[in-house]
Amino acid sequence: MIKLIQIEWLKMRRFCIVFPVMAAFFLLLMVGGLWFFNYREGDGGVFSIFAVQYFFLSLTLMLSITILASVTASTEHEAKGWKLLAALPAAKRNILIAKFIVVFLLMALEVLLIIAGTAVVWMLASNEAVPWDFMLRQQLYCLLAAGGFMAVQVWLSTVCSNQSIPVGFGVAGSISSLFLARSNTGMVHLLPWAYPSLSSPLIPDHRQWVVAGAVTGVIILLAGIRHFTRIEW
Amino acid sequence: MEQYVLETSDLTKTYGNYSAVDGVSLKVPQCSIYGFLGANGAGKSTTMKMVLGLIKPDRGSIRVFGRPFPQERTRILRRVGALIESPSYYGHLTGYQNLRIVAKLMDVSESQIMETLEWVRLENQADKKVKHYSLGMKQRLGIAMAIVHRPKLLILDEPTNGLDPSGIQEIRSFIKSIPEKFGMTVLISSHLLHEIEQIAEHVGIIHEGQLIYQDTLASLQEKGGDLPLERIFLEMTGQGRSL
Repeated sequence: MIKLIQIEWLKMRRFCIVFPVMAAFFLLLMVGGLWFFNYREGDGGVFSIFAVQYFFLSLTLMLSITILASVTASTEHEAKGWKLLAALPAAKRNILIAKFIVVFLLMALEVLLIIAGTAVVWMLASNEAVPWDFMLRQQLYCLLAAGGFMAVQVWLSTVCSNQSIPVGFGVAGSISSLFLARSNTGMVHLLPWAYPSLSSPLIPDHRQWVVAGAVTGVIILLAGIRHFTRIEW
Repeated sequence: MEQYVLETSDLTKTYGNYSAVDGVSLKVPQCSIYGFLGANGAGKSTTMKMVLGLIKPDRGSIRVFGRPFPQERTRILRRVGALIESPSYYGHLTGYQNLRIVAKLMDVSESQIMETLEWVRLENQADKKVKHYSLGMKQRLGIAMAIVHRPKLLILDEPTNGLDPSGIQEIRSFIKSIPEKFGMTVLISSHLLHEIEQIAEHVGIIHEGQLIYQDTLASLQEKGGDLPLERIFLEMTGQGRSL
């Protein structure tokens, strides 16, 4: 498994590193700008930056997952690499798990950059101590809650050689996340696309959605592995 | 008793009502070049893919190095190299980086990567991105990726497809030297009779999914008496067209 992950690293396009950095930068720019010009002097004061961030965080992370899952999979589709990998002495299930881990690690990089950037913005704009606990929970919970969505995107990007399908599906899912989270129909909250938007510490009972995201991530990944190992290349 | 590196028994694959491979029992002797001959769509690639575990057979068994496949898949594939249909390569990486990907998984040393690149005469192009390679160079890289770990069985599916005459000649001479140089057994498929005739010692002919002949090329020639090889093939396959 370690070797498969190292192989993923060897063949990774530079875009896969540049994209999380750019996504984190644009999120910070957007959140920082909106907060500075519109909310800084409101009731929430400096803390309102987390409310502003809440609106964009799930969308940014989910769009990033969509793009990264698609790019890592399309590297194989273009190279006819699935056939190559499946004929190598590695368990087929590990091929998909390695893809999932790589996308997760790239997203972890993006989240770390968002955390670091938010801390810098905070220190520049406020004399108060950085609320590390809240800040870490807001970002990391969102990433974990997106586990189910990530597993869907990695699987879909792998099985579809036409990447417009997983990208279209992922973009629609990312945009719908905030709407699903605000729906009055409770059943809609059970969809994995809603979890990232429900996972903010600003929302009561948010932890259940973090757990739900992580658990559905594992379940969907296992289902994806079951399907992937049966594909004939 | 002859040692077989690869043995299949009653290998069968059907898609709906269509039998792509029907009861094929291959016997590939050790350190030989085995030519797997058949027209397009005869079932060559499907058979080879089943041997590599890329396709699951509906019926039959496979033994590679005397071990059951896919039960011992990982152990067997460590000693197998393959180039199936067109070569797989990562175009945004250099030739050297492509080889490193396979080498990493197979624990191949740096010196062996370089030696392989030299052998396929890509050492001067090793740092060039593969998307800028010619078709012949890509094919040579595909062979290099298949042999970088020095497998004992090399499976090549129509390796000269799409190449110009000089490229075909080049690949052919590579393949011919493999058993002697590396002690490998080669299973090579082709729809071109004259190609197999120039490379292989053993031959298997597949027609509409069924293995209709399997023995040495010399026996086939003996069997046909004065008839030219092409005539013998056409009579065996009942085809009015050239293989």
